[in-house]
Amino acid sequence: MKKYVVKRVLSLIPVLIIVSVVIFCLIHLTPGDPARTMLGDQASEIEVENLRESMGLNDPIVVQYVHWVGGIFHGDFGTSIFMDEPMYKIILDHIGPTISLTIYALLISLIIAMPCGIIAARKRGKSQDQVISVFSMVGISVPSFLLGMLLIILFSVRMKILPSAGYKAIVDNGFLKHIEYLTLPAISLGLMQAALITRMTRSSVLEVLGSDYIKMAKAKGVKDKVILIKHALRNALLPIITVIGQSFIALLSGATVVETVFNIPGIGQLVVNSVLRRDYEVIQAVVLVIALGNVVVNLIVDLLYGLADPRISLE
Amino acid sequence: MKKFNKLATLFLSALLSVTMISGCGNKSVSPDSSKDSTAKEESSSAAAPTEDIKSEMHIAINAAPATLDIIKTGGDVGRTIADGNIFEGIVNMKSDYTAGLELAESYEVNEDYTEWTYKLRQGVMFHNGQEMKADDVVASMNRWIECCSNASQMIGNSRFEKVDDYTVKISMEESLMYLNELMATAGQMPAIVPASTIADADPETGLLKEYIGTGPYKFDEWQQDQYIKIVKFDDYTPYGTPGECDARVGYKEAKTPDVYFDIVPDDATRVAGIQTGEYDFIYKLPLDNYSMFENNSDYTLFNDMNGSLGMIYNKKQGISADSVFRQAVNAALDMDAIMQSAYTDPTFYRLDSCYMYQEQLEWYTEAGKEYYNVKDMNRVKELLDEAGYNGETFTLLVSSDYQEFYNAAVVVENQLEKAGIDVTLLVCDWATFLSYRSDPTAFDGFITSWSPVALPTLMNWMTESYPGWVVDTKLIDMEKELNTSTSKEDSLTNWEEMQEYCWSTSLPISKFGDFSMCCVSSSKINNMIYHFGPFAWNATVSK
Repeated sequence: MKKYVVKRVLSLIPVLIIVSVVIFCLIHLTPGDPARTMLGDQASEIEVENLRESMGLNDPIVVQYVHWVGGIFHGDFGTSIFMDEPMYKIILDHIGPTISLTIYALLISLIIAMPCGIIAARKRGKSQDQVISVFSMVGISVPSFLLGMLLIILFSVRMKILPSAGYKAIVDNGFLKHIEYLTLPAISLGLMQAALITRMTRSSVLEVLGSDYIKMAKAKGVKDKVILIKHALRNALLPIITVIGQSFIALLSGATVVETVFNIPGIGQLVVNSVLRRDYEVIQAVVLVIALGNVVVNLIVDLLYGLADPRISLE
Repeated sequence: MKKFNKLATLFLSALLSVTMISGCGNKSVSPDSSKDSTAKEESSSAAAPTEDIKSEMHIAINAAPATLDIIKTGGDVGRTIADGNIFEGIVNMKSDYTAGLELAESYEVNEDYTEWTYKLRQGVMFHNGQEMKADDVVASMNRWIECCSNASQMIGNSRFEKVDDYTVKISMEESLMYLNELMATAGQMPAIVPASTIADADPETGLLKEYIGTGPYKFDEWQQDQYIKIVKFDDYTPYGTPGECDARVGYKEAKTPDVYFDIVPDDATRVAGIQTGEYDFIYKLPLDNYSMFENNSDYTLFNDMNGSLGMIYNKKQGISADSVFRQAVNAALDMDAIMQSAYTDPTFYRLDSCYMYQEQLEWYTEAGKEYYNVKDMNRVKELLDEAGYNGETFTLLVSSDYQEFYNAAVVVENQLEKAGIDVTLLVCDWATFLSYRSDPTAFDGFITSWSPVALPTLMNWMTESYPGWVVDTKLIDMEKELNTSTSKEDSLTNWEEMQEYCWSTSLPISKFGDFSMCCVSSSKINNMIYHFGPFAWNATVSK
């Protein structure tokens, strides 16, 4: 197990190197200039040129890359010229809301999806299955930003029971206030993931329910509930865990639209704003962090396989 | 079926519980409850609001400014937040677009307008506790001259000097009758800050690290992508007559102790936010939502003319370097169709050929009107033949970040194609747009807007350095003549001739029309002054 983890952690290095080169080239080859964006449309060419020079933007791209990577080895991910704060603080400030939102959305999706998926499998072809299938189709089809806007109109504008936008950190405002502001965005994000996980749970459980050992258990007179929970669900978990892991990654890096609609200062908004103003250092650092998060979540998913199914050896 | 019902009930209950527990953390989030508790604690040192008045105001803005160093950078949002609230100038702009004294109590100017002397108000305190003195004013004004291209072009190498602790002067080689107007309406504000903060500016970017001014509010906090908070400055000394404030100039008082500028880029979110009471004022209302708030007593709509839209030609090189070709393009344009596509309804725009505003009576002129909104295809053909047009491509640059610009560009493209001009639309985001715009090989024309200014030559597109690059020496000489004029009558005559010459011959731009920017405030806001944006001072928010 330890050997496996060490091997996976080491495999991070080439991944991060490739990601860093690709994102660095991509950003620096895109037209646009942070100095010009920073100084505004009324800045003179001399001022823009002076700022470019002092930011090192006139250096060859290879030199700029080496400077950046060299800084990382010294624990310096660079400084945002727009935010004038160290990178670790910028990322920490923005990743908190995204992680909260991701976990909350995933919880909502699991609370809905797991039971619905199991019921749909158990009642295959019956009315319950059809209702759940219709709802999961709707869940997949409705974009999260549209759902978000509809939720705002219903719960914020009409009923006035939940705030329409904004974010309140737990530290400053307490848990309930924190959850209150995240509920609508979490529902809009979670319902789509719920639909995906429901469909995966249904098909996975269905496959297991048709297997020989389930038939044997039934023949031995084991109760349906025990068969479902103890035998079928556990064996159906592997693909479900994979989808949950993918959902987590998708939510972590792809909540941008919902963050914009609900004005949550998360990592998605940070990336979008940074791209728009060409804040190179922030984009590079955030993409690296997201890539790292991606690999770590995949590692956790792989480790969970071993826990869910002891036949899988991680050695 | 029973099992299914039980399970369904269980899951729905669980989901609703999570939702409702969080939703009921406060009794209600409607209008005010979500914000007041923290604000009262935070603003305990500020003047306590009365029982009927809230201690904080939330203004939702559509974008975060790059910086609040508005001396170094321009931009509407930064000025809305900082100009007058945090920073003040020697003079500032009044509602009639003229300059009024702010940190100066008086000024003197010699007969040929080459030497200006300003007597500063005494006892004006900076937010860091220092008193404002001539050294600070000299450092601030000279930094502004170096940062602001309009200022450096008009003032040249002259710089402000200290006469005594409360007097500064500037001596120039050439006359500058409109120095006050330049300071009041230039794109970058000549904000007065302590000399020490200028000395401590970031060595890499040259930007101020601290936002210390003399205004009724001081900078408190900038939560990235969330809000910028300013709080009442207790040692602010108002000037003028209580109750009289003309736009940025006059008696100012921070009646609401804490003001939040919430950064809300999404239009729909800003609209929902004012309906739920999250925000007291929203900046830049989407025009489609205008009717939602019209004739609704719960809200106040602001719909003042806010700028002009037009196409700036590349005069330096390429197909549009030929003024006859530019005249052909201009003759093909249907300004009403362009403005309607951009601003949907005449409620939000007006057609006008004058580069200055109708409201600026003394500068308003109809000179050159006959060349505006011509839509004459025969004339286009004649001019294209005269220019020797041979099917070359006219590249029209536009930023997709501004929907109205893009809509206008699409109509311009269509109209020019119909007139027989081959057009390529180059659409890109704002950062790319700024880069392309500075490259004379990248475009032939670009769509942009500009704000009203107190002096015609302050319009950026009139300058040699602004993209589009005026190269017509006659026009440059006319600008210089206007800037150095020592008689108001002469300068007005100069301006009339200059506008006529622009429309008839030089055509640096094709102006499409003037447009308004809509904003909405809750009817709970009282005494808010609005002039190209909301001013926080003197305004209160009822509970």
